[in-house]
Amino acid sequence: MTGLAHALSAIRRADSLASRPTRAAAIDARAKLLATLWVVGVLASFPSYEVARLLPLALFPVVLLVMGEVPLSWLCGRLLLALPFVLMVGALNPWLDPDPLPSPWGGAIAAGWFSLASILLRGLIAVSSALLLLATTGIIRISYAMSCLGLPAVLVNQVLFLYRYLFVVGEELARTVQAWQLRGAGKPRRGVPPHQLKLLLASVLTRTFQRAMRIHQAMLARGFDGKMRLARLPRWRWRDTGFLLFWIIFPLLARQVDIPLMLGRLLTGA
Amino acid sequence: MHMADALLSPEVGASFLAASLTALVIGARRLQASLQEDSQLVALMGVLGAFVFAAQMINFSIPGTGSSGHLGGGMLLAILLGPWAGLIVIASVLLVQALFFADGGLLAWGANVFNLGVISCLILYPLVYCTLAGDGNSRARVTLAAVLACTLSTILGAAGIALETAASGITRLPLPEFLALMIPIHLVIGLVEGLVTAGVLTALAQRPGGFSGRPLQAGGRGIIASFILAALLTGGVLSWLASEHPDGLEWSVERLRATSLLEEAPVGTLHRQSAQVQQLTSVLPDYELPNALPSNGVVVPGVSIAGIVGSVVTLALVALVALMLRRPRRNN
Repeated sequence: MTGLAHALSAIRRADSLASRPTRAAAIDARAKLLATLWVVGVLASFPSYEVARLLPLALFPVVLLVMGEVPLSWLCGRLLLALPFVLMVGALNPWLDPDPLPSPWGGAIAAGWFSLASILLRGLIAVSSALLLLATTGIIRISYAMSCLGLPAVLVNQVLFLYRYLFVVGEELARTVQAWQLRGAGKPRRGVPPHQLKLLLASVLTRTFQRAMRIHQAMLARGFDGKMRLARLPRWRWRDTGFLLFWIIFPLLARQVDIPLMLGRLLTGA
Repeated sequence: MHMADALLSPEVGASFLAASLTALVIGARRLQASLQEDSQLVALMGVLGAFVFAAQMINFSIPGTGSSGHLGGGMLLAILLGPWAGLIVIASVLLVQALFFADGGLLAWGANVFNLGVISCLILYPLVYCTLAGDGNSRARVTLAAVLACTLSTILGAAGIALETAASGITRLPLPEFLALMIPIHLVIGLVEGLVTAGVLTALAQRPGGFSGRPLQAGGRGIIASFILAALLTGGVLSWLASEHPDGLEWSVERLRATSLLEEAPVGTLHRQSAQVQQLTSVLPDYELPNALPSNGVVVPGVSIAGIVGSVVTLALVALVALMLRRPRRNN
């Protein structure tokens, strides 16, 4: 299977997770979206050497994971694909930032290790929060939530259109590339040579234009007049308010109070 | 390569999010009129968005390097759909990528839209591609325009990531070294992308019926790009240069030697209570984050046995909450 086919399969899998009737799915999409954005924003506001203080924010993706009954293996698989860039950029920190900081077991370690750990932890929490938002809500309800929160209708409709035709166009391109691979001779190549890629893309793009015209005719036949109309989300409930309030207040509390240190002092008497 | 949430500070993320959202809102308003006149644009945008999304998954080999890259698509979309529609489409592609593949992040979405959309669709397309390509009838001019515009777009996008990372201050990678790592490979990727884009446009033009690129919307040439850049500069960069000298009121008070009078002024109950409330509620006292790094960049984060024990306990509590929320398995 080509990389594109893998990607389409991953999208279908995320969709199937979001369509199940779980407790997380029952929470309003707007509440989950706002909570996710807020948690990620507060996460980013921590100083770059903070590690332990970030830990309480891990509660957010954990709650979504459990309430959404999302398989941990799925999340770990997506994280493994998403984190290498973050790791690559932060990996040099221990050498670029060698100022010593005291370690609890005596001696000193480079401050860069703390910032590297902080970067990894931020990445883990932020990426898993976004993935779990999708796995518990689905792209369609996220798009409707975004429109309720003020995102232009043109952009929201564009996302919905893109999602709708991604599988159609994507599978066509995947079949075209696979056909090219099966007809290829000699050693396996790393990517499609540019002069062949342009022919493949032009071929699919021409059919894409033709498909767009057929879709347009179908839309006109169904009364499309150029105006964007969006469906409404289900009614907002008290549990949605509670969910949102909790995930606004808790991150703020974690930002202002060093919760792990407080717990540690309580237990150790320090 | 997309910007990630873990490398972005909220200030930089919010600045670029504001800039990108401004561009998107302006683009949406401009497109409303176009969509009323030409409803085919809706279907075209949707399907081309799906095409670019899928095309980004196909790697092309970079000759002589043993490496590979992939199409960005912003310039191609601007050429086929026009700058505003191209921006909307690339923003939707980046949003879907951020949600499904965590490629980029929610906080970094604005920065990615700027790096991959605003730069190519609103700046380089009108200023570079349209200028060089002319009416699009000359294959040589279209090729040159596409190669140059795509190369600049890729390089500036990569430089944007480096600058945003440096401005956020979360990683210690020095900016010159980061740029030295990013620019050369993205130069080559941009050249190849430019050649592929030019080849696609030429192949499309040669097919029966050809294609006509969307005309540049009147008045868009550089004006909006200038405003967005100005907003970013003002919010994100010039604030660094903000004067530490006292503002007009403070200066006046100091000149009048009235500072001591203020300190000696009787403080009533209401004043004290107001000050206490302000101290508790102010998120950014003196426009600075609490626990800001000292100017020498070194901080002692309070590593201690209590901190480690507390961290372990915090994780254990998180796991306990997860167990409590978990539904018992149903026996069939």
